[in-house]
Amino acid sequence: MNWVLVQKDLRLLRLAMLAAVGIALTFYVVVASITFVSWQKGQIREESRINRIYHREIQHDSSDNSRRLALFVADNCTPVSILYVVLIAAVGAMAFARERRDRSAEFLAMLPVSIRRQSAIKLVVSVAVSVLPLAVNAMVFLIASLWFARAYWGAMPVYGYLQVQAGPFGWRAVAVIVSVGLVAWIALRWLGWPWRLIVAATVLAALLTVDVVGVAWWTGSQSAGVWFNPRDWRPAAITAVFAYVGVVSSIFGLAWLLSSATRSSVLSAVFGLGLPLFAMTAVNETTRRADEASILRATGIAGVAVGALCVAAGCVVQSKRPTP
Amino acid sequence: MPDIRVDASSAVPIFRQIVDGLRSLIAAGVYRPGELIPSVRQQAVTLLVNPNTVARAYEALEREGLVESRKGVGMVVATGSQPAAVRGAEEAVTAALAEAIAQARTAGMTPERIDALYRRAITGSGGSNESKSGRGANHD
Amino acid sequence: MIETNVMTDRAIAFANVTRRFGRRNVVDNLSLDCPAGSFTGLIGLNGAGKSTLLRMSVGLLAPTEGSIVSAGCNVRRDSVEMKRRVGYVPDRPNIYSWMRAGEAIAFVRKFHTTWNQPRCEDLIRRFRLPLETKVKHMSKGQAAKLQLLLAVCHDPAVLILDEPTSGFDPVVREEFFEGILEFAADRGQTILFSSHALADVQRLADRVALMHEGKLLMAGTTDEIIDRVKRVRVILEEDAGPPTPSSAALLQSPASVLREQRAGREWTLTIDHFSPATLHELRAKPGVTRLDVLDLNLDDVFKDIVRGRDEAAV
Repeated sequence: MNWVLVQKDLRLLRLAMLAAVGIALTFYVVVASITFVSWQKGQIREESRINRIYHREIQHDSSDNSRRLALFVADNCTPVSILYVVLIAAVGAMAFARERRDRSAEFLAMLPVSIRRQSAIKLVVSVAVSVLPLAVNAMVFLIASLWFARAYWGAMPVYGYLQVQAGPFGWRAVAVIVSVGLVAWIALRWLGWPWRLIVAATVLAALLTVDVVGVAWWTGSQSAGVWFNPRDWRPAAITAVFAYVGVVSSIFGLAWLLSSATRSSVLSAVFGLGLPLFAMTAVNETTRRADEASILRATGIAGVAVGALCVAAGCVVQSKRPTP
Repeated sequence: MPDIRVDASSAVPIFRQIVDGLRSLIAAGVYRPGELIPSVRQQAVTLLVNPNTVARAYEALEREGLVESRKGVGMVVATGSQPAAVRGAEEAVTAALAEAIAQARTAGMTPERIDALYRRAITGSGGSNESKSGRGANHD
Repeated sequence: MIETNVMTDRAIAFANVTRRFGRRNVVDNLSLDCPAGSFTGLIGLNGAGKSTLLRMSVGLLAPTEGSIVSAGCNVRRDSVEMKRRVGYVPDRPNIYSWMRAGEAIAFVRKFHTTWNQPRCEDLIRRFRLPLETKVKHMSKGQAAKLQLLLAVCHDPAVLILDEPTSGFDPVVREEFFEGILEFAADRGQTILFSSHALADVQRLADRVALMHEGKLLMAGTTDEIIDRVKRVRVILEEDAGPPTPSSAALLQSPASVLREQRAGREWTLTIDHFSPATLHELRAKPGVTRLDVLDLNLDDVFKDIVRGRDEAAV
């Protein structure tokens, strides 16, 4: 009985799992091929263009291709991580809303199994589906970093910079997510098949344009981040992990909660993503001058707490609701 | 399976329609003494009516002595039931006719007029005895 | 039916059930009992609250007030046990659309310890279900038949169907009813179903419950209702209006007028709890020249009750 529920939930998250693999493969393959080509030409460039908005940038001074390759791979784990945040929001958002929308929740509710057990299994499956690609990505990152470190040992750069989403970029991310999501919601809700595609394509194109223009516009702007010493990378790494786990947990939790309360997974994902990002950007904006590492750690802990609370609340909402 | 027609929109109770239908099938010799009639379940599924209704109809037929239940076998047509069935069918027809006549009387028709209408009806139906539907009474 | 497997004498019991949506009482202080082994047809216009009532009876909706027992279980308290004993067929199919019919069957089977495999196979054959077809590619009729199969194969004591056959073609409708009757004829299962098709209700149900605007207007066995509700056509001497008082209080209790219509000399009354005494009473009214008593079918009874109420309200 538990196993068929697990299978069912895995089937519901099939698209998310495919997307996770797709995202990872795209980035790894693209990075690998760019790197390979550049390596052949003997000119690995200073910075990866793919992740110029959100990137982990280590100032360094070297012409050793092997080190740069490692840095590249490690660097490109960052956009994968960023996209996984969106993915995890989607996984959380699909928890209940979709089954409620297409009424299969009622089908499920007529089976002799408690809502509590259904939710627990769903939570386990969703967390597994979310954590697995993160773990793989972290693994790749770790290996690449170790490779880099080994190659670079003895000639470590003087400083590093860990960038977080804040400043104009943070605000823009929130705005983009919310607007894309709302348009997607409208498209899914009110439009037929070919129109959905057209609307989605138009919106994506528009956003891409806005984004490119925006990047050019904001080039000079500051974004929050943490300077760190690569020779003593542990505090920075811990801070980064805290921040990331906090972001991911709060987003997953909020999407899960919204999913139990609304019938729209798109809206759940949008606000699940948008609200925590908004909150974090606001915190970062208002505390620019404070000790950013400790702020990041605090927001990380708060994010995990909020996420756990939201998941619990979502399960309660789901089990107490008079209608499935 | 021999045909009994059930008209659900009729005011005649369905169980009555089944009783009349089976009775006329027995009277016509479709079911002979000693033969099984369909089980309640088969009959309910075929006629698309409530099994309780079929069971009740069978009980009524049993009371009339047309069928008897045999343990472990089902309902069989009782020996010597055919004349009884014919009699029963006649009674049902008599009742229907009586009702029609009463209706005619209230409309102020003379016995001669009623007789003429009856004759016209009987020639109109080709004099055949296809009394499948076995209706017991009229309704508006 | 032939041998009754009685769990409680009231397999489904609604006690003072109210369901509010906003300010509207969609189900209004309704009490109804369905005895074990009964086959009850729930009839009423669109928006009468039938669907809401049925959804509450299987716990898909909580009542605002009142309590509901299905198959001997309190629907809110023992909901998991209740779902082992109750089958439900919704008005629209709600199986995961990506499941194949065979997958859906295998899925549901895993949840039940009392799965009746012979019945399942029999219904697959009878319904000619394409096991390899996904639910989203099925016709409405096929999906509904699959839904019925899934609702009866765990041998529930109670089966609840919400407008099961609306929009079916005649062949599918017949197959569907055959499936229900195969199940019903088995071991005294209790069935409650809602329908617009009064002829179907008259055919299949042995009890009828009539809902109108959230209230239960009439409930009883089909025969009893057809027996006790009659239409009387009175021809009056003059077209001066019916004998006074012309109202619901016209007749002595328990008889009551459900609907009355006046057209010239003809005065038509639909009377509940009709008896010979009622006939005498009417005959004794001044100006009455003739009386005809007409039998009604369920359709007529239903329409007269609903129209009578609407006319009285105007």
